[in-house]
Amino acid sequence: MTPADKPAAALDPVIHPITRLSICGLLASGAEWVEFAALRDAAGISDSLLSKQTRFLEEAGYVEVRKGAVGRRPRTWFRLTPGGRKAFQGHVAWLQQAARVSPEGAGGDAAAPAPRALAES
Amino acid sequence: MVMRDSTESVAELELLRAQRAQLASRLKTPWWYVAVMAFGWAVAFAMPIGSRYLTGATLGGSVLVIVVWILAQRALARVSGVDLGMGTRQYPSSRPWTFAIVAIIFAGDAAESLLVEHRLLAAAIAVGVLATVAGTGCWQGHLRAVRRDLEAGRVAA
Repeated sequence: MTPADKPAAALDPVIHPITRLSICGLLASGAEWVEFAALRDAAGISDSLLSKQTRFLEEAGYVEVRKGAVGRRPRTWFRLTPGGRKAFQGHVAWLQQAARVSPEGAGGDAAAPAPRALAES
Repeated sequence: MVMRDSTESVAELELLRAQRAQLASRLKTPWWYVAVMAFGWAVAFAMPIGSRYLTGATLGGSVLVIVVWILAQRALARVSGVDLGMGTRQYPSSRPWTFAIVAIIFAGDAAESLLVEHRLLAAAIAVGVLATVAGTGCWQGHLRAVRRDLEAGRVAA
């Protein structure tokens, strides 16, 4: 990605809630599609919460859903749309900027791990 | 601009990193996947020898290798819940492994063909076995590199 293609750092209200941030972060990790159970386990959330939040992200045009089945068991797969990926990258850039701004008292937290490689995701 | 505590942002970024690591850990290859891929490699390196004795061995072997590879990838995606797709060019750490795999295919095929031409069948079989082991090992290395890239979120757009 060239600097000109890099999305501007901006808070995205759709992605901002931590659950949706987690879902988008997992879908932006590099896998083409991620299955419902894998996404639920990695995000550490319940089935109903994942269903609700992915529906919200789908309606916002950030997530694409593919339904299939293995035998009689239905399987649902998710992936980020190009728009969703761009919005996520912009939001992560905003988070990284915010992480670099050290307010008085909270600054210089040497114990806090530095954010890694997310800008590239 | 929304003001927020920087530690909150750091914590969110760290959470994303931990969740990616959890997702990547699902891609650990089961024994049957390694066995199926080794079978695919064995078929691939049996072709230079087989084509000497059987007509249509190259075409049949190629089709079998492709089918085995596609089925193995699909099965791994179903079991792990992580579908990498058919192309894995977007994972930068896996590129050296891809070059190594291509080199093994060409070197193994050329060496076997040469040995078969000189009627050194036992040596050709030994090269085929070595190439199968090397190819399977490189494919495992390739998947380890993909896992590392998933963990780090280091993926080309």
